[in-house]
Amino acid sequence: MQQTLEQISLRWLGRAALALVLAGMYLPVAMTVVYSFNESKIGTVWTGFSLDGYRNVFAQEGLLGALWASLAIGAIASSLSVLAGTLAALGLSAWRPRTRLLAQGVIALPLVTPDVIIALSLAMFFSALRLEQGFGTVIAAHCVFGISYAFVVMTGAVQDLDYTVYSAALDCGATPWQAYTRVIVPILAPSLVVAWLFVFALSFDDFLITFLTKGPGADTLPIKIYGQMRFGIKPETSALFVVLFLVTLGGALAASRLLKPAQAST
Amino acid sequence: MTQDESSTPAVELVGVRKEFGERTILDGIDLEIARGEVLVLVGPSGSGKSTLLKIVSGIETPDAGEVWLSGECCTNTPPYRRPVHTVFQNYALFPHLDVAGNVAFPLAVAGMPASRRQPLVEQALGWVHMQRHARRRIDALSGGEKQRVALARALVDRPQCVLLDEPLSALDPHLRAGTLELLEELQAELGLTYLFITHDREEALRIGHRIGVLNHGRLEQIGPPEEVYRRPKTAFVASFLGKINWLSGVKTASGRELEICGCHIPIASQSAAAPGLPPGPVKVGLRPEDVRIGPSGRIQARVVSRLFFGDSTTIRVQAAGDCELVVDQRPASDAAVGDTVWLDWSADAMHLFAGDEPEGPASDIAVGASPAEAGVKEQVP
Repeated sequence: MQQTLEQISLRWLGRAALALVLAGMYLPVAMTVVYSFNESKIGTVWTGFSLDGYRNVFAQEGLLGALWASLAIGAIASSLSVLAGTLAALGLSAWRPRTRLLAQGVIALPLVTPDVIIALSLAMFFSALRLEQGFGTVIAAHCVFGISYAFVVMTGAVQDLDYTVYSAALDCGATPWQAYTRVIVPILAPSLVVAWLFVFALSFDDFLITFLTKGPGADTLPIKIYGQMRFGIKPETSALFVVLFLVTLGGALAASRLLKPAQAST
Repeated sequence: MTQDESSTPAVELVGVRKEFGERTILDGIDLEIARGEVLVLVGPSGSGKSTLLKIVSGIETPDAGEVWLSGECCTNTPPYRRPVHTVFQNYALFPHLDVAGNVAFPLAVAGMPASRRQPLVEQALGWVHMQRHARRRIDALSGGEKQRVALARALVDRPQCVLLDEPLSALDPHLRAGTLELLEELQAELGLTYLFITHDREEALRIGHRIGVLNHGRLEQIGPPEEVYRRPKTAFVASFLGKINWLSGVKTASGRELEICGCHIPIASQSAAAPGLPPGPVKVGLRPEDVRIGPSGRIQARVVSRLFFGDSTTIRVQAAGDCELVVDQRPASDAAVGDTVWLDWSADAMHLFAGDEPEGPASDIAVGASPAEAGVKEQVP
C-alpha cells in the first residue's frame, strides 16, 4: 500500500520526538558513564581513558561511611515504614468507608506535600523537642514520607485480599498469629517487597529532608556528594554514580519481576 | 470410640440467639446433629442460616445459648480449637500454596511433621480424585477442582462435622450433580457428619437425612425430607419446599368440612394441621402434582393454559369462585385449553393453615416457576 508523504513525515516526527525525549533522559547518564573513565582529575575535561575513578571510588574520605549511613537509614526507615503502613492498611480496611477515606487521606498527605515543607517543619519540630539531630531524626523524617508510600502500596494490596482466607485459616485450625504469618503475610509478600524497595529508593536519594534534619554528624551519600561537588565533579564521583545507577536498575528489575505474579493472581 | 461417645451428638445447639444491632438474626435455635448424619438447613436469604453455620464453626459467637461439639461445650471456643471444618462457598483456598499445600494446611498448623502429613494428604486427595494435581497452583484450577480441593482440606484431619456453606452454588449447573454425588459417596464411605446449608430445595431434599427450614431466624420445622415435604407444619415450609397452590377456604362450624372453590369437601382425619384449627377462614395448600385431572372428581374447572414438557404437562385451570390452580400431570394429560375437567385429590394432600398465616416470600414459586427460578439466591454477607 502506498503511504502518503503526510503519513511518512508523521511517523518520522514521532520517532524524532521519542529520540529527543530518550536523549534528554539518558544523555546525562551516558555522559556520567563516559566521564567516570576520565583520567583527568577535574571534572568535564576529557584527557584520556582510566579506571582510576573506579579504583579510588571508596578511597575518598568519608564516602564509604556515607554509603553505609545511607544503606542503614534506608533499610531501617523502609522496614519501619512498611510495618506501620501495612498495619495501617490492614486496620483501616475494617473501617466504615467515610472515616476510612478520611484516614487514608490524612496518612497519604505527605505524598503531595512539598519536601521543603516537610523538611522545615520537621527541623523545627525536632529542635522544639530539643532532640539531638542525627541518625535517629533522619530515620524518623524518612518514615514520615515512607509510611505514606508504603501505606498507599499496601492499601491496594489489602483491598485485593479476599478476607475469607483469614476465616478459612482459623477454620483450618490456625491461630490468629498463624493465620497472619502463614496466610496473610505470604499472600501480601510481593507487595511488601515492592513497598520496601520503593521506600528504600526514596530514602536513599533523599536530599532536602535529610539535609535539614541530619544535624552535624549523619552524612548520607547524597549529602556527601553534594559537598564534593563544590570542588567540581571528579571521576570518582562519576564512578560512584554509575555503581549506584546499576544497583538501582537491578533493584527496579527485581521489583518489577516480583510485582508481575502478584498482578497475575488477582 | 466407646458406645457412650458414639451416641453423643456431633453438634448440639441449645437456645442459640444472635443479634446484629437491632436485627435478630437467630431467635432461639435448638438443634442436634447425630454422628454420621446429614442435616440440611434451608431458608431464604436473610433467614440466618449462614450465621448459624458461622456460630458452629466459631467465626461468630452467639449472644445467648450454647454450642456443644461431640459432647464438649464450645460456645466460646475459638474456631481454631473446634473439631469442625468449613467448605466455603467461594472455596477460600490459599492462593500462595499449591493443591497439596492447601490440603496439608490443617495438619501443618497443628504441628504435624511433614513426613506424617504426606500420606494423609495423598489419601484426602484420593477421596476427591485430585491426587494427580497435587503440585498444581490454585489459580490454575477450574471451579469444580477448587471445590474438591476445598473439600479435601476440610476432610484431611477427619473432623467431627463438616460444615458445607452452599457448596454447589458457585459451580456451573452441569457440575452440581456430580459434586453432590461425590459428597454423598464420601459421607457414606467415611461416615462423615454434614451440616449443609443451601437455598436450593431440590439439593436439600436430595442429600438431607433431615431437613431444617429456617425463616427469620427460627427453625420452622425439622425432620426427614418426606415428612417436611408431605406434612409441612407451616405455610412457609409448604411453599418453600415446593410448588404449591394456595386456596382460600372456610372451615365449617362442624369442623368436618371445608368450603373451597364453591364446593364442600370433607376434611381428612389424618390431615396434620386440621384438628387444631378453629372453624373460620383457612388457607389450603395443594401441590400441583397431587391434583389429578380426570372424568370425575371433587371440583370442576376450565383449562386456561397448558404447557407441554413431553413427559408431563403443567395445566392452569380456573374453578368456580375465582379460584385458580396449577396442576402437574405426569404422564402428559390430553386436556386442551377451554376444556372443562374434573379435579380430584386425596384428602391428605390438602395442607391446612390458619387463614392469616403468612406464606413467606417463596410463595411466588406456586404458579409454574421452574425450580431453578424458585430458589432464592443468597449472598453470604
